[in-house]
Amino acid sequence: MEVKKLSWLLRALLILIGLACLWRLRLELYDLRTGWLMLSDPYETSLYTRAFVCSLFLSLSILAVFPCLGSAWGIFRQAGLGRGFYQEKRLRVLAWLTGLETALLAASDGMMLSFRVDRLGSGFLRGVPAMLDGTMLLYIGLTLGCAALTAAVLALSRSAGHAAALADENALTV
Amino acid sequence: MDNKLLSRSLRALVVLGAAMWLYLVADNTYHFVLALSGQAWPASYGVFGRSTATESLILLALLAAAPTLWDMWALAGQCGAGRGFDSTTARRLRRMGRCGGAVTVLLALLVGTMLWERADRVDRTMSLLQRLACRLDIYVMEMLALALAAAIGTAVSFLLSRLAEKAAAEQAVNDLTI
Repeated sequence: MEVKKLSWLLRALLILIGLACLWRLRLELYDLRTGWLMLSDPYETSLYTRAFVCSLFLSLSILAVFPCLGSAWGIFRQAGLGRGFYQEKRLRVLAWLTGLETALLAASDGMMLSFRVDRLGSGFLRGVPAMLDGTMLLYIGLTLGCAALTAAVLALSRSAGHAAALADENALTV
Repeated sequence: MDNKLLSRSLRALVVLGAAMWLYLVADNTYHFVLALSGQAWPASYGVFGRSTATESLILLALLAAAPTLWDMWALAGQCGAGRGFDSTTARRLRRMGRCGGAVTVLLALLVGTMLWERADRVDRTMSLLQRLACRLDIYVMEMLALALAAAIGTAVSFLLSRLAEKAAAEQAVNDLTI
């Protein structure tokens, strides 16, 4: 009973994350559309191209969250049904998806840093802290968090693989 | 080896959370001091009082969340050492649940204060729905989502602590039987 409740609560958390991502995606798509319109501007082409590519990567990284949520939903559902560590494949798929998310976030970070290159003009020691403002720190933290999550899910999938192999061995012995 | 990798990844996540916590505490202390000295909105005494209340509630919620970071660190370490669900885990999870409960209450109060802060946006001619829509901006929605997430986190901690207690009791019975 408690495992079922736990499964439902974790799925409620996934729904909340999904709603937050939808909200963020709406804003990002608006930026993307504006960036596309600005591309036709003959002046500042390089700046607008960077802005458009940055918005594109950010939108893609938000879109990539949804398959992760779907995969996590499946895992929590199975866990709620009382199936423990027989989910190696699902966990590995989730690790791939979070890995993809990390890569997209890292690409967005790179584009966001390219916007702040002008701040390096005041010298490296002053320029780097100026480049790492609140938004930049937030996105770098998000990327690192996603990388740590990928490693954790990979480790879990391996543990699940070991547990499944042990269970098979025990069944054969019996 | 897998346990250690898992433990290290979880600890990396906790370190990131701690870094973000420190950043938020520093940022909100600055805003709290600004609000307290009346520099943020010097024009109106009412706004001054309400913004001070909001900033102090944010700070309190952040401070109430601090012990959970330590407990998460300890739980990640326990996971790396290969210790499963035992009585220590149950105790830590229960403490995390209590802290989570305090954070949820403070965030709920914060949402209420933020709605009160936006009282100037409505007038008597508006309907109830219109008044609510005027007050529910992105910041209020963010805090509302955070409060919901904290409530879910609290429930998850308490449920996990119960499961850990059961596992510890079963282990104790097994030990006695052997």
